[in-house]
Amino acid sequence: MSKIELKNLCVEYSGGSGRFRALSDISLNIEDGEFVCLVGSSGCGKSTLLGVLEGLNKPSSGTAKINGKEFKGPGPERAVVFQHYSLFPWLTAKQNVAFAVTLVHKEMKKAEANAISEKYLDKVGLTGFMDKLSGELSGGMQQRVAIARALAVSPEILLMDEPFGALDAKTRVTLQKQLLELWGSENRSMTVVFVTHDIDEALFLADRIIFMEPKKIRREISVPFSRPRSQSEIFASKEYASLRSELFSLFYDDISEKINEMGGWL
Amino acid sequence: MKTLKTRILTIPNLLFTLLLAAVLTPQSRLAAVPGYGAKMKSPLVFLCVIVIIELAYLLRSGKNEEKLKVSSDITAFVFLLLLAWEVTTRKLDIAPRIFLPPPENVFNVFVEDWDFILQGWARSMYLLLTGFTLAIIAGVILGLIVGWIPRLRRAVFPISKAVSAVPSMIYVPYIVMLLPTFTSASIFVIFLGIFFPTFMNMINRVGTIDHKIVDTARVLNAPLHSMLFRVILPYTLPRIINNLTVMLSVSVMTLTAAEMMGADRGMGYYVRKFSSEINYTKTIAGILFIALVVSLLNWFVDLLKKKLIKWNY
Repeated sequence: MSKIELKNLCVEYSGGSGRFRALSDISLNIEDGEFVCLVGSSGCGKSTLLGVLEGLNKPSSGTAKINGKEFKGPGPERAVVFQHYSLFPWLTAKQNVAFAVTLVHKEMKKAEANAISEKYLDKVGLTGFMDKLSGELSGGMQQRVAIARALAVSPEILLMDEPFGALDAKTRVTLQKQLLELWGSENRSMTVVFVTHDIDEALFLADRIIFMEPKKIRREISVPFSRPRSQSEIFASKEYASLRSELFSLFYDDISEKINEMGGWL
Repeated sequence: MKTLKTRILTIPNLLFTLLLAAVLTPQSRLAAVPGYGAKMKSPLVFLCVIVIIELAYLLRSGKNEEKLKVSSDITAFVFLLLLAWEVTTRKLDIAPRIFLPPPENVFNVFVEDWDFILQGWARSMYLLLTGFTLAIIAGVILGLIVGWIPRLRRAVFPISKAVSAVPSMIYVPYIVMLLPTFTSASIFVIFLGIFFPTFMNMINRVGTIDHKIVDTARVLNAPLHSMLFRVILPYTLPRIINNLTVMLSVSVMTLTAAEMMGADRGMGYYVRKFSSEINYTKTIAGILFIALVVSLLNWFVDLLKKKLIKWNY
């Protein structure tokens, strides 16, 4: 049994001018402890697909199962990191994490939740910033808090929707490394589904890359690099170059198709 | 570093000296206006007020230049007004005597009538704070619930919009007559005046909440009560508190209007009673007192704002 099983999944939105199909007939299995990246250009439906796993989007047909059971809505076995800075601005970093902990462990005492919060903020390197309101933190720091908040509830599945998309290049690389370290420190037992449009990011992080074209899965590519990974080693390897060029051609195929669809207008 | 000279020779200090001189020197045409001097009350209270303002000005602390300048200008304006009042009444006696009594007499009312005024104040505060608090609590909680349920929101919002379009002043006489005691009537009037704007504001705010906030709370598995009271309530809190100032003015307005209809005590009653007795000295004192009370309440709300809202959108 796979950790996540999607079968013939369709998602439709009803907008102002009728129905719009965002995903059509998606079937995908993700194994326990696997790190999967969903890659594709914007509008391909990768965030919609993640939304189904988050429990925020409802499939209009098909089934979505976690641990063999169909689910409706969000669940405590899943944690999410969004692209937008999603901390509650009226809470400090520590309170934000502790709030999430008490929502999952309802019986837990406040002091205990605070201790867990501190532990995870320590792990993401925010020891000195625990009592700052989120507005007083930089974008990178806010995303660290969001990651700490997601990990603090010990989820089985971590869902990440372009979490580093709004950060500058240097911060992004630092956080990618940190994410892999954190995942490694939990023996890679957590299943991660990570949405990105950055090919280098996907190649550095993923065990498997799901390349999406509008509404569908176009290709699955497994990434063979051994763990723990180092960016410099990976970037220097031949395999990396060939995988990268494969992904790039997929990307540009996709774009040239789009241009043809639009009659070369772009 | 400012020199001592520029710190002493300021406009407020200059006006303060002029004002003191005007109050302490005898009336210029005293002999020409028989009977005026006999009606003059002790200037002691007025002098105290002037000195208190001056002390507040001298002891004011401000971190930036700009704020110091503003408070200095405000003091200058207040002194200028008081000076004009003093000069047109007691000094030159050119203002109509009945309608504009000298400031000495007006301020002296606070000492003459202190127990009456204080009783009225306590009474008004009781009605005001009861109606106000009940309305805010009910408006916030009901608005939170109605705003969260789209179907309820779409039905209730237009109805309360229509109801709240009627100014509460309009139905004051009706409600004062309808309810058995004046106490219940005025609390109810204040309640209505505050409840609807708070309720509708809340519905609006909850209905247009940033969906990212809601999504985040949902994926954190927040149950309904946490969603409402630990996510949406704190999200709307700054708006509620910002509106308190306006709500406070509205409630003072409705209360004083109600008190003018049927009360036997209270700040509004005081003003009505003496204006119908053509005692404008006490009328003006009553008006000044209401202004002071409202200013203090607003100041308190501002304090609350600074304490409670540490974050911005």
